[in-house]
Amino acid sequence: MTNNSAKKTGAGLGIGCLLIAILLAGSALILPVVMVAGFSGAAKNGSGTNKDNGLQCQVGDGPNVVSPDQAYTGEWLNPLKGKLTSSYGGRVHPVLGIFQVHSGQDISAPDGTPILAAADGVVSIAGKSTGGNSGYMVAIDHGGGVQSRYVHSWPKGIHVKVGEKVQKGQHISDVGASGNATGPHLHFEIRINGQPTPPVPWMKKKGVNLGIDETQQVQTVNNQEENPDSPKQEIPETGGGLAGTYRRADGQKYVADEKQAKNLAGVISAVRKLKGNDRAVVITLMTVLQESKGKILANTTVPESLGYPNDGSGHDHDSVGLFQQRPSQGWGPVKSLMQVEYSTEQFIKRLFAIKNWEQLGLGEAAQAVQVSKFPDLYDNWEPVATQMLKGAPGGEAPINTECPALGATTSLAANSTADLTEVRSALVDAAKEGLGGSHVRGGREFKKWDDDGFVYWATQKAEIRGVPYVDPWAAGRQTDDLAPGDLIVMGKVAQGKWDQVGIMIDQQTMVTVTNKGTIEVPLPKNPVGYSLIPESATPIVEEVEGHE
Amino acid sequence: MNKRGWIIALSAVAALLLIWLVAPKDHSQQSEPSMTWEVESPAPQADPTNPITPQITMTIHGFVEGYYSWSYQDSSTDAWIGRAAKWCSSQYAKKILKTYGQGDGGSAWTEIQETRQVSSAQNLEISQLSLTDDKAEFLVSFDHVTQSAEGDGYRAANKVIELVNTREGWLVNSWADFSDGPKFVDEVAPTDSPDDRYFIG
Repeated sequence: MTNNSAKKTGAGLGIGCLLIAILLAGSALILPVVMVAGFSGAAKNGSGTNKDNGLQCQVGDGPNVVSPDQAYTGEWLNPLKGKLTSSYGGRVHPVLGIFQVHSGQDISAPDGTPILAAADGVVSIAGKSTGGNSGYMVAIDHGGGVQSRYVHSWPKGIHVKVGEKVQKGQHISDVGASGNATGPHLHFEIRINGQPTPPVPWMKKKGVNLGIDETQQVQTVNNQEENPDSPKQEIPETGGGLAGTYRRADGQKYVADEKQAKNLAGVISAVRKLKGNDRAVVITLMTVLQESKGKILANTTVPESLGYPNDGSGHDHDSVGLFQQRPSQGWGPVKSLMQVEYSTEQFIKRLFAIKNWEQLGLGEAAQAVQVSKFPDLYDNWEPVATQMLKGAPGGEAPINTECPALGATTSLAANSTADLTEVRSALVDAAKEGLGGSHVRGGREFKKWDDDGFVYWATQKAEIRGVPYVDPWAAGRQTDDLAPGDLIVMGKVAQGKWDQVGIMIDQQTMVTVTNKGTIEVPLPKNPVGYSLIPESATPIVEEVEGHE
Repeated sequence: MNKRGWIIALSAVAALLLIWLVAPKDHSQQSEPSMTWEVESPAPQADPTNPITPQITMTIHGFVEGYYSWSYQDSSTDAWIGRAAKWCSSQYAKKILKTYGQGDGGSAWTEIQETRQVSSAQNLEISQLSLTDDKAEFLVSFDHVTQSAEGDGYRAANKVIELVNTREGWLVNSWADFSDGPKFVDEVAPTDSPDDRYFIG
């Protein structure tokens, strides 16, 4: 290539890049408007016609304003106590990379937790949504164009019928993960004249702090990005419920007293303040637990440290504080390293400076920051840290203690003609078809996935429905009578939480996804299995009179 | 000695040196560092029905047992590195040294000494994932056991080990977690993304 042509190509590339950038920026600005307009179509196109129930709605002063004469004026209540996760608003889809509007507030709670009607009204949707994304849901009209929606229940978790009058506090459905759900949670929406409106401030005006459950809020402290209602807190006054007994991966017991719990809650708070996600919180906790067991340690060889508030003292070099950071190695002044927030900030800064830290294993990431001399020590703390993320101790029970087996909550696709043997066989065939490819954490594209994404794809291929993207075993039935097509889980990290999942191929092998791609591996010793095969071959088709 | 004599003598020395370099070394005959704890894993036995050769088995056992072999009685924090690195390719030995050979023992070493901790890998099982003339991968399952004055603990572990066939025989070239760890719900896809395949009809 000549210099000239290279320059021309370069100029062309530059202009091309500029055009793409302009197009992308334009899309980012226009798409939200288009999508919101799409959501509000019922109000704008139909002059107040609510397409969900065919009734004429009274339009107020604007698409998001309710006519005070018509709306339900009684008391509202919290439909579900749990952790607020994804909030209302526009965002870029982390996998598809496209802009979307998340039309409600997600509240995380255990599968099967009762969902209550937030106010009196008439049920307008009770069953499978026509769009598919929402799975099974309930919608209640409260008059005046106000509708509340309760999305992602399992088919058997719907307890009301279309047209039924319900009262606030009535048990209408259960938490599930049907439709496009990453795990069990309630997607709660408020629609005014058909248009979604931010539910948290709307409910707040009604005197309701949506989702708030004090015992579940530890992980949302200072997590304003994910949870607008999360309290701002510098250092928690208490241990936030973290005090108690935990089990490490090696079976050893760890007891966090109130002081340690307070320190650890402070670490969580500090990580959230720095916009750390759950992964960052777990890595940080694993580090603190290994280095100091959650104690702010002074050092007998660093006299200055003894003058600051501490929970005991060590004597390793000049290491001080929760993370055993060394002032002589550039971590910071002694006084600051004896503080929870500062020392956590130093750790997080170095963690975030590691390229692709989120692709590293949890213990590997901790090791990369701390430069320990011994391998795998941080890994022992993974169950403790994961349990702390849930906001409460796991108790003295060994980590491998199992919950009683529950039935699978899956169903067959509505148009499936397969019998259960064929479904099992199809799952095995799909697993084999997935062999090869590469490992992509959080991926669900064909052969560009992680173990959860692979299982999700295989179950869809086998026409099994109701399987969440993450932790697919949660929709299954635990079984000792293993058969090909069952899920095999490995590495328990907390109650209901496993490190690895694969699909059993035969009595010797399973297919799973590691960083080597999708591979066939021998079954582990004493395999733990879950069956995703539905209880009945009859596809569940429920009458749905409402539409999204 | 004349010029020709010198050339012949030097050539002979060079040839001997080359033979020494090329000849495969048997690690089992190298002097072992003194071990003061008991490793309960059975010694590797050749199994004619198993495609995994005794040399591969020995390398994997040697590496894994060395990797988890730290003890309060070690003379230095690096002792386990020496016991593991001798089963590694030079490239991977350097990586281990870079990862674990820096700094000091920190609070972990203090704890190991104070609690008289002895670490070991036991009940090791090897399953072949792939095997060619040059390279092989295995799934290694074992218990990482820690015995100490505060009580004993064990953690069931699964790792993927890669071996390369070198002039010195099969040597470890990488050692990685089998699992990519738990997923956290907040990290993954939003609720209302398009997915027409989810429900049909």
